[in-house]
Amino acid sequence: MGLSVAEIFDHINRFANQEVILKEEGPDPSISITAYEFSSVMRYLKEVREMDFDTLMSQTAVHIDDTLVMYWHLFSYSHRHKVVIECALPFDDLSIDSVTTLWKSADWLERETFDLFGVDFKGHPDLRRLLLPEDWVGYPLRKDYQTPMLYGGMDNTPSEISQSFKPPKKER
Amino acid sequence: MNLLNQFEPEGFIIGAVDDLLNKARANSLFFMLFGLACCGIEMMQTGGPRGDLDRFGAAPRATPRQSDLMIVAGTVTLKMASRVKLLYEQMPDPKYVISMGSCSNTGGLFQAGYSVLHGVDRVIPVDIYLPGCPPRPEALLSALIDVQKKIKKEKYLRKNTQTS
Repeated sequence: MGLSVAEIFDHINRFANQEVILKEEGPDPSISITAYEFSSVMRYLKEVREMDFDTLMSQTAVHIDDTLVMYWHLFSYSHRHKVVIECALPFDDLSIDSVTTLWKSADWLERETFDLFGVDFKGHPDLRRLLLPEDWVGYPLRKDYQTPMLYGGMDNTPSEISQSFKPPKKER
Repeated sequence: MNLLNQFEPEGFIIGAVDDLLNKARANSLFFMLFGLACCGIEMMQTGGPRGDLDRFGAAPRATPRQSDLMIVAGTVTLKMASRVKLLYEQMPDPKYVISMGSCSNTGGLFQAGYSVLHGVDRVIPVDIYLPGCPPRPEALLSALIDVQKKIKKEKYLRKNTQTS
């Protein structure tokens, strides 16, 4: 059987020069790495025999306070183990290396994250919007996003009656 | 009333052209297959054996150029809205629109989302609004009958009459 997340953490910790943090709370324990070492750690996870993460299951991001936390869900068919890699990016420098050279499935996943969060994936072969129209302004899944009242000449202001149904906004 | 075998061999029927035309139009409403979300599934059910939309003369068409009726079945996103308008403009006059379900009426459940149009009537004119989430096949049938009633009231051949 494969390695536990704690064992994978030990491997990465020995390999990496910078700080690596194991986060064990929640249903999926994750390993937090720095953006500087991201590319080499991902290559290590893909190519070293004890790891052999041959599948990128999911790639997404969450806007938490002032940072954008990126997530990569990796799975190994040969060892049947999986791990969640996370990496926090500051909003003044939203760029990270693309992993399309390691996993082909990263192509559209990274395009989606670019579409909804505006992350610049360096080295991505075709970084365009995936879901939204190409002339869309802004990145909707950021917490400070304002829904446009006008799009493509169409008035999209919510009607008065529908606004009265909305719950009051929570203070963050 | 059954008209079969009611006339002499050389007999004829007298009627207003308007009425005859409207009867023909109302009972041959070809609708465009246009399912955008879960309402589309209910529309398929309406076309199935239990709802049997065909018995009102309504047949599904795969192209807007052969349709008289557009059933907007589902959530209209902002990306889709311009396409909906284009499809509507491709339909030949006279044309009718049923806005099916809460989503296409007002944006419905998804109206707080960034990508959803608040009602398809902001893009194209709507004849019948059908509430429900999604409406049952019976409700869609009643909406179709409402369109037929509307058609039968029209004086299509007269000058300066608005059709749709």
